[in-house]
Amino acid sequence: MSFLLWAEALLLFVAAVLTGLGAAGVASTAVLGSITIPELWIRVILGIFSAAFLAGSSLCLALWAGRIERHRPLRLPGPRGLVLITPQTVTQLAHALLAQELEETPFRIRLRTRRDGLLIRIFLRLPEEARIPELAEHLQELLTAEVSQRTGLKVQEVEVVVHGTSRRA
Amino acid sequence: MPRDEQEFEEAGRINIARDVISTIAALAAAETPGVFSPEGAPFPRGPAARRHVDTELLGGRVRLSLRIAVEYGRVVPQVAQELQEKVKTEVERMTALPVEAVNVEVVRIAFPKEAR
Repeated sequence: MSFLLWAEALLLFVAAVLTGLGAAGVASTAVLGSITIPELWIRVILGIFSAAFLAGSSLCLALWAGRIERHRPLRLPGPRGLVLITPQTVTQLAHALLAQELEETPFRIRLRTRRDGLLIRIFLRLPEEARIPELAEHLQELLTAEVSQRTGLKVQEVEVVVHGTSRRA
Repeated sequence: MPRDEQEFEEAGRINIARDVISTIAALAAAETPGVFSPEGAPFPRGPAARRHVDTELLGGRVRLSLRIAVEYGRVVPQVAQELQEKVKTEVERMTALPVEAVNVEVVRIAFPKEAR
């Protein structure tokens, strides 16, 4: 998947360069049926295409870099060597902790790494009889304490996003 | 270019292949509590475990990298540090080669119930 993004970025860049060169090299008007397109217009159209390809290439590169960043292990230097912890490990740990707490309630976790620590986002449906402030505070405390203690990584923020309710009408 | 084996030339020649060092490290990993294979199964013993261990020999010094899973409920850095200590001790004891670093990459959490 990462390779595809990288290849797409490269292809779009090549397309941007070729259309850019084409725009620069236009030397005459074009005739399409009964319409005559002036040289300037052809340059402008090719220039727009070139810019669009370049923007697409940049977007693919940014997505590729973001994906690499998301999968990059978190580093803990130690006296005998490095300890690297993959984001997947932290996500699994947070998932297991939440599964014990929330039992049947469906939820998803997104993890982002920042310079100053981890950002954990939980997306869930509000369980029956639960109140959002108490539940959110409890989950924030649980994840901040347990993930930090079990991984040695600082949890900077735990965001709880309630996107629905499990209560029956 | 790292060499595949390390030689000693005092009273005669002793060659230690990188695979041997990898196997020693893998055995140490298998004996460390809380350490599982990256697939979440018990850490394999013997040659099968070598694919989870990378060994580099640089100027007579050994640098090892291991990929592991850590059992759920354990403190990850603590398990990793125990593993580093054990691998370093075992490799140095059995080969007499100095171990410069043991890097441990924890790729997932293992749930022992899954592994059974």
